[in-house]
Amino acid sequence: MNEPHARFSAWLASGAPGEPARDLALHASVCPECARAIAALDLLGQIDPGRAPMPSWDGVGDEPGGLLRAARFAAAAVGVMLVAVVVGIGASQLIIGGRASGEVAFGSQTPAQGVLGGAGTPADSATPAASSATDATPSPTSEPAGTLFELPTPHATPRPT
Amino acid sequence: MREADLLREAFGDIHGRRLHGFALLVALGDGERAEHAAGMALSAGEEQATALRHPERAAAWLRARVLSSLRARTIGSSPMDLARRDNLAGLGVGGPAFDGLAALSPAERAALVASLIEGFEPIDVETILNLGPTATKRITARAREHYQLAATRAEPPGIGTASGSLAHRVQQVAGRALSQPSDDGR
Repeated sequence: MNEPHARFSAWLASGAPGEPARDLALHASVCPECARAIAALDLLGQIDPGRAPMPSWDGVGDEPGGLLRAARFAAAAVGVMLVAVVVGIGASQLIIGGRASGEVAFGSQTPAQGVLGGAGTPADSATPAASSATDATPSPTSEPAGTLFELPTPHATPRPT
Repeated sequence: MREADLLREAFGDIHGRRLHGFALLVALGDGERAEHAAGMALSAGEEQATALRHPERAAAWLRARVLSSLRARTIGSSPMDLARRDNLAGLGVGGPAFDGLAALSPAERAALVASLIEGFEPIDVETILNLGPTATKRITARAREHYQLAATRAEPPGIGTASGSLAHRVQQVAGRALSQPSDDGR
């Protein structure tokens, strides 16, 4: 950056007081960057805040009075109470739901055991007649063909007293 | 009607429009916030109209209230860029000037508007910014620099097309230098 340019920029930055030095003015008249800076600052001179319309302010600037403050406080309190009620209802529903599901579990039968217990039928190969006479020990194929796992022994479901 | 009532009535008429314009510029065209801030300041000023008899001091006091209000955090939607530009176009803010103002913080805009556009004295700018002389000078210089950079980046108008007072002054001095060259070139 050359010296006149820096000095002219400094003159602008200081608020452009009075007149610029001649060499600075000559530089600025041929320097595009200085010309843009001058034009940008001159744009501010075209702004007139007095062209704005009159604002409406009747009552706008009043600080919140006692009634308004009370209304705000009441609204906030109602909001807090509503949240508390909603949370309370939700929590009670959860508790009631938990109790209800527990009663169903204790009071119901376990039909799966009965159904599964009757589902398996012994395969033909498991009968003593189908096995060879020399092999007295039961083979692994002696399990019921229709069962993929060992069925649990059915127990009587305890009933609540 | 009592004198105090007359004074209060005149207070809004004297300061209303320009204060609203200042608020619009500091709020960067946010019409709703600007009107609210100006309205609050005027309402508070009316209450103290008797104490705020000096027009310049009153104007600075009002602008300080506006800036304080606009600095506060707000809840709500902000207007679109186009609406802001439209609101400020009515005050004579063109595209590059808008871009220059948009690059500033509210306090910087207040410093720039008060010092360069409205021509307040430094002591009044200090009142508006609620800062001491050194800090006020610093923020005003920074505002000027940031504005200049952003405005020239947006659109490069040449000095030949500029018709402002600054361009006129520079052209006059350059013209004199060309027609009456001095020995030292200054």
